Amino acid sequence: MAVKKYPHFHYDNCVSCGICVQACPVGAIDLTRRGKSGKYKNNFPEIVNDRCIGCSMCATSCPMDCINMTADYEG
Amino acid sequence: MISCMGKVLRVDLTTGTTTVEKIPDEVYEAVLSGKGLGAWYLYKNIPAGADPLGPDNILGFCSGALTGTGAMMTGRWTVVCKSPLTGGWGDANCGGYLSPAIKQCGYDAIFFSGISDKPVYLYCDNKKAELRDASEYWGVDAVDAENMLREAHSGGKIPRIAVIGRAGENLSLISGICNEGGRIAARSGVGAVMGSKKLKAIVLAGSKPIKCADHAKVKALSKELGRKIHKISVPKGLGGSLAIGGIGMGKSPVTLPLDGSLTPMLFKEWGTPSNTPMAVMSGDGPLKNWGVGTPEGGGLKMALAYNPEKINKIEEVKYHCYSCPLGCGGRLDLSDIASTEFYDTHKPEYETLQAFGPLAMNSDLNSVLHINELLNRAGMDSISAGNTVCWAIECYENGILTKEQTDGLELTWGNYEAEIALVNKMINRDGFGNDLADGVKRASEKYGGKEFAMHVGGQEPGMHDTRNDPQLAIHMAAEPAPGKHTIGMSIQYGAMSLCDICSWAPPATMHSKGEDLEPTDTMAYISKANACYSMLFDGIGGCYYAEMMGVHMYKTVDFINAAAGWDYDGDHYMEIGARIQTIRQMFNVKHGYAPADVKLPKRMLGKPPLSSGPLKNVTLKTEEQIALHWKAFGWDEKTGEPLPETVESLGIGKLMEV
Amino acid sequence: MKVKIIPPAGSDRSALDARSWAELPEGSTVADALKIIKCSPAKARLLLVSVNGERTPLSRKLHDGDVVGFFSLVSGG
Repeated sequence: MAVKKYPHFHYDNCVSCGICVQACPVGAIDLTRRGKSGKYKNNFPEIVNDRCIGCSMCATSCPMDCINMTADYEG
Repeated sequence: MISCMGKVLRVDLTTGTTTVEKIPDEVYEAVLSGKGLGAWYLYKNIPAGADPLGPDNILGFCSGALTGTGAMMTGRWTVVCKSPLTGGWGDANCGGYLSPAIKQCGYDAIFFSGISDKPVYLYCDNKKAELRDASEYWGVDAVDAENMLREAHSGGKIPRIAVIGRAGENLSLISGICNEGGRIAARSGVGAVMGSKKLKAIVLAGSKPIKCADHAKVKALSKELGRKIHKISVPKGLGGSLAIGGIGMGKSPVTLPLDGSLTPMLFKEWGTPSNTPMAVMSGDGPLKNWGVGTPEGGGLKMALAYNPEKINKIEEVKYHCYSCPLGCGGRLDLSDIASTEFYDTHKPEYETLQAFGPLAMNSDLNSVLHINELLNRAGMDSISAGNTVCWAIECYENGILTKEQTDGLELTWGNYEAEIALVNKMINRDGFGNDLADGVKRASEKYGGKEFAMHVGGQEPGMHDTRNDPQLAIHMAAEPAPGKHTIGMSIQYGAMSLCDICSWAPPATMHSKGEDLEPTDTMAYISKANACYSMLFDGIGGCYYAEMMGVHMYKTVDFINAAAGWDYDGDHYMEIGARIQTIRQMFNVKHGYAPADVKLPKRMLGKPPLSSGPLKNVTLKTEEQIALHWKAFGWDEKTGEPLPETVESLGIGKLMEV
Repeated sequence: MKVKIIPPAGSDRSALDARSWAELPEGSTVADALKIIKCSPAKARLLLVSVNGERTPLSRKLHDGDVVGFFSLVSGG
């Protein structure tokens, strides 16, 4: 049985463009992770509920290559 | 066109029915999507003589040809309609998150005709498009209504929502359509059209895929842009120096072509509020209802009152529109500001700050933050509202309006409490406010003071002074939708290097700002090229600030070719821009809007000229240059009407039969 | 090789064509580009001289089609 994968976000190159948020068909991602990108106050994407179906649309859509699908669910 | 959905949704609000209409590929090839698709559809489908607030008007929500393909900075949507404010072509552009959501429901655009007998909203997802009862939302402000609707449709794909506030419901001709709690498609009175149809909102929760011919290439272009923008950083605290920069710009008697690739610095650090201190000092920003120069307008003190560092201090978080790495927006924490009951709001744009600040001789930033939220919630256009309020102030100061007429409000320069009270009255159509809620043209027709009423063809002008920029004067007066500041201006043209992608676009010139500027074909092709490029951007769903970066930083032609699987050059795409522009003007002609009747107010021509500041002694002559602008488009030089041979050569006749 | 230089106010534009392009020998650097518009290195650094939208040291080698620009103030909406 295939192991279900979940998106893992690494924020070093994330530009908060929201493309992954809008790509998610089930509304599992939103820009709510508060952080600082360099000196800028930005919200970054994160999984915000348990609806993720592991479809990887987010990872495919990210122009900055910030998302990879892994089997470790970060919760 | 592979990056478009190939269909639109037509909603008849009178019968309550929805129909999916296939759009032939020739249309996308000719005019792309967005404003192009909207212009084509409205020209074909709105009968001549239609009442803009009646059932025959069509209100369109149009996404972009590149929206959702992974191309950065293509998250804009365009609203199109016959404008109740001007009687001619109407459009308004907005960012936020609505644009991709339109395509994810399976459509490139959604068009509404008819009038509902009860308040409704449209709900769309992958399976359905249906009208639902909006009675519990009618009367609720745009921010709260959006939150309620989002809550009511939670549990799956995040719904993206466009909604009108009280101003649209009240048919204010200066109302707009809101999204994301603070973004607004504000101009042309589009909110009134939505209100006239008793359409409260559209709620879009689809997740259909959007195709792209060469996703790897689009992604590579986006990643490169994102990487460069991500690297940009500005040392903290330099906002005050923008005023000094403005002084330098003001002193120059000529406009200079400058480099656009570093414009992201300003927008990333401060957003458009970065322009306010510059504008007060440079002559770009109108002061005291366009009536005085910088020294009388408050000078450096007024400029620094709007130091964007003050805004950065209370900025909680940056706001990015969909697909944008810049994030020029922001959410502000107002809880420490005693004079407002609001806690959080979207950061006001430059236009709002200037229109209620320096334009009104008001140096109280907090009052403008409060007004911004009032307008966000009401869904009212801050450019039009600000110009109208300042007309009232100038009339009051000159004895044309009495305290009895203003319901007791002392409308004096800088009296921000009176400003706030008046804005509330306009939102609620209360007393004197009722007469201002439809803009300055109608207000001045009732009360007089027409010499103080700043409007161009009925639409109030954006906060950029034509006396500072003769090219802008052409665009404000001669464009199919008048009074707009986003179609073109010298500083934008100078930053874009269009000459490097378009064989007929002249290089940006260093030219005089004043009356000694002779009308030339070169200037006409500059304004034509600027307008065509703007139309192209509105066809792809692109953002003005991507335009501003210039063609070397934002590779428009490469993006379109990669997303669509095409192999055209810049000239081809600029011709698409010309085609979109011509259809908009044809719409005007069909609907009895006479371009030649549109005049800039005397003040904006420097008649009489200002006596101090960077615009001292500047007067403009525009008639001949407007004629050349129209000639460059292949329109009649006297009337501005597209010539039959132009319509023919652009293939528009055939397009309308498709 | 052809390099576009969008010079700041007060520069010498005589080496630039109408569209602001200049002919430079292969292997030229940003510093060489500054010389032909008579812009001092100090001024260039102050104005955040960039190549293709990225800030760069003056020693950076240029390639055909590069755009050399300087920070400028443009307006918002």
